[in-house]
Amino acid sequence: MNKPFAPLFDKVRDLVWDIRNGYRNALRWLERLLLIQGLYRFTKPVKKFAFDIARIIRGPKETLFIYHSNPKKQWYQNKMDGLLNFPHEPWGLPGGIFATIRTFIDSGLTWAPSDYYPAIVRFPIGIIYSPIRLVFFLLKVFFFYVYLPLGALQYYFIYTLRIIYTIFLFVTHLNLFWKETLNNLIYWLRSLVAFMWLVLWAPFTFPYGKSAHTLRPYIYILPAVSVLAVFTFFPIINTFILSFFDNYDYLTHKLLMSKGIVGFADYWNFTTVYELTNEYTGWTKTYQISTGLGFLNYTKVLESPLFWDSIKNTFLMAFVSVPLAVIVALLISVGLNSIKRFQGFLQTVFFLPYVTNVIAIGLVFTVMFNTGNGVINYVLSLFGIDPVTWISIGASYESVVTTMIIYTVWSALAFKIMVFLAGIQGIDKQYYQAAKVDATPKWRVFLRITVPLLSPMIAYVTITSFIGGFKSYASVVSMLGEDMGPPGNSRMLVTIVGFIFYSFQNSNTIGQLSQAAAGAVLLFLLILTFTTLQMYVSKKRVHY
Amino acid sequence: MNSESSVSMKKRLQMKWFTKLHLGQIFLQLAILAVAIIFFIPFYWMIITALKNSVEVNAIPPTLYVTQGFEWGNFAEALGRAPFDAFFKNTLIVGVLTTTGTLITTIFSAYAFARLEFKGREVIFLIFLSTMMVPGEMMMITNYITVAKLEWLNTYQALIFPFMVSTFHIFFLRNSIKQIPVELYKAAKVDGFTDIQFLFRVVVPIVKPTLITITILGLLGSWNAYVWPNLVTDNEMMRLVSNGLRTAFSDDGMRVAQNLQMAAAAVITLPILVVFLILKKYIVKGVSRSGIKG
Repeated sequence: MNKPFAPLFDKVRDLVWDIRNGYRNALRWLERLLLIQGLYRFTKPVKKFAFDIARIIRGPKETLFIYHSNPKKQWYQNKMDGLLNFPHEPWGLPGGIFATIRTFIDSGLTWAPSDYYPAIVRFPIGIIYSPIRLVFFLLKVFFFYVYLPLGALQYYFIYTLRIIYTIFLFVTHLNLFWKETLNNLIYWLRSLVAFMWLVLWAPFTFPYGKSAHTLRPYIYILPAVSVLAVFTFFPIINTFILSFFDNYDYLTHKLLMSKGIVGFADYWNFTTVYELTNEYTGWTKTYQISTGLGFLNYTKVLESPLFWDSIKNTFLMAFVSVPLAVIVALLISVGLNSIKRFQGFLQTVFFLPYVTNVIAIGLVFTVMFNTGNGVINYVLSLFGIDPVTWISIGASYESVVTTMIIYTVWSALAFKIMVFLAGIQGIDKQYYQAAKVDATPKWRVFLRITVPLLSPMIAYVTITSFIGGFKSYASVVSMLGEDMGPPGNSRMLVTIVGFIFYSFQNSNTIGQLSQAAAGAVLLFLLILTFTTLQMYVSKKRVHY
Repeated sequence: MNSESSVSMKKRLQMKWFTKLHLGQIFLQLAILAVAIIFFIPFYWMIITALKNSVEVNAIPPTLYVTQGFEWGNFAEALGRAPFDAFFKNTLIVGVLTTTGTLITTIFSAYAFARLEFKGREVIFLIFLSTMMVPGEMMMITNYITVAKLEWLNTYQALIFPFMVSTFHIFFLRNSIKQIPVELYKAAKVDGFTDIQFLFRVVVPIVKPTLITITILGLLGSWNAYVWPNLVTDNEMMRLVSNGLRTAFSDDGMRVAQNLQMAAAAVITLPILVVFLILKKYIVKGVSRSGIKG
């Protein structure tokens, strides 16, 4: 008999077998690696105890959301019953992952507990619905099991310090130790538990069976990784997530809900508890909702005129000052390279702005561009031009921008000249000698030999200058003050970073901090786009 | 052609070349000198204004050189307006401690990434590189909250810790260490060196120029830092040079006389200028090297 599809069936069968085996192996590995079920079961009464104490201390209203588990269901089925039953403290992380995966399998990949619908109904519905469910599940896992532990990192830092501090107190000042510990008992217990989680998690990730020799690299990178984790990795993710909190104040945990009601939101629980009094009956009912996660902050930022002002200013300054500075620096460095006499002295003069303080030079430029007794107006008056209000009261937008561009170019020239000069001195003399033999004119030598051979340097300098130009803030503040504008017209020359700081420092309205975070994320995306574009361009034009 | 006439012809050609070059060179030198003079004007104006007395400073049109006598009292008065000794001390402490921390962490991490092999090396290095792309402003908000919750506001720790590790320096140093041949490591192993001995006796002297660059960049960075210290310190005695200068001498509130402003700016600029003039060779070599290789 003809079996044309036999090889295909074999392949499918092998594939299915691999998937099954792989799945089983993955589960076995997970079960071994993560905290096993028994240990997770142990955490439940501990959590209950901790929350009881919290309820006593904090009051019953604020602990409403905690336990609604149905004792008749399995412990992992309660987990699937909604947002509220996710473990709130990150010690549930390994057990939680394991529990949810197991629930997924046990309930036959459906959205209902296993003994509610018959299998003939469950499985088809499950196969259709489970991808959607999987996506939402992954999102929730990310927020509750990646974000919370990473957010816990900063608290681990604090908790570890607190534990060391209490040990120190125990050793030296016993009376202070009792006072500190008893007053902050809950905080101390929380620190201890978080510390224990960290300690319990670590042994499962150690490379067992290997000598201490292989642990040495990890110890070498430990200081760098630990500092970066707290001050770089965590902030990046935190800023990114902060920008998605709608109407939520990260600092005071207040949530602005509809009808202008402000409720208290617990940072760990992503929920808010608030009270509403029914005016007719006088009964107070306590509600609980979850914080909104959405693009509201981005909408607000993209609709605010201050943001678009800042974009216009930043782009104008960056796209005018950077090419100008690069061209001028190229010409100066080529000229510097040709003359032999005062080269050392001239090098020093051109490198001076690199080591000067931004603020000090900003002050100098403010004095120089003063309307009455500034040098620039005096020089212009020698040519018969009327004095111009550069940056004083009543200055126009063009004059302020021109001043800023002159200042930016002046202070940026030093670094560029340094790099270009070193690059030119590194070019092989053979090219120039060959050009001399052919008697090429100087401008052609410059355009066809020097610039292409310098193009890696030019590309690097351009990219870094653009990135620095998008982030310009200190130079504008040094000339125009914290208002970022001439007196009487504040925020005329606000930059994107200035917008971020303005939103950050004026966080009286709820949600302003998240807007600052949204602005920061937009700035990062802008820099990323431009850098990618420039690298693409430089790939085509740069000769290595 | 016999040798004498070819020599004389060469000489004649050289003379022609020489005259051409000479004229062009003089013109170029004059042009560059003019540009340098224009470049130098802010510094000149700073020193001139700092030495004028209060009558001459407000003269319209401004005088191009000090006509009414050098007023050295301006410096004393400017130094008296704000605690400049605290500013300098803070900047020095922060700069030195940051640079020390950077050097230690960078040497160990770069060595681990360059020479040692461990699981996850590429992944972790990739994560480091990707954070290099992120602007510092994105991390500032959360760092401020972290520092506030740790109760580190207005202390030295807040100014030092966030900048102790710099991924750019780790990347830079790793490239330098990678260029050391592996045979050196093996030879050292044969001689009985441990890892750390190899690191400090062989690797560090070889990459010393890079380390000097890192030191210089770190110190200059702490000198120029404005945004983060402004965010984190309120107390006048804890300020660094840049934000201390700004809050004491800018035109925000009261009008400060121009000569006092320039005197303060000169006081801050001149020490670093002197140091720069002494260490010019190292700074220039280091910064241009980081430009080429980075």
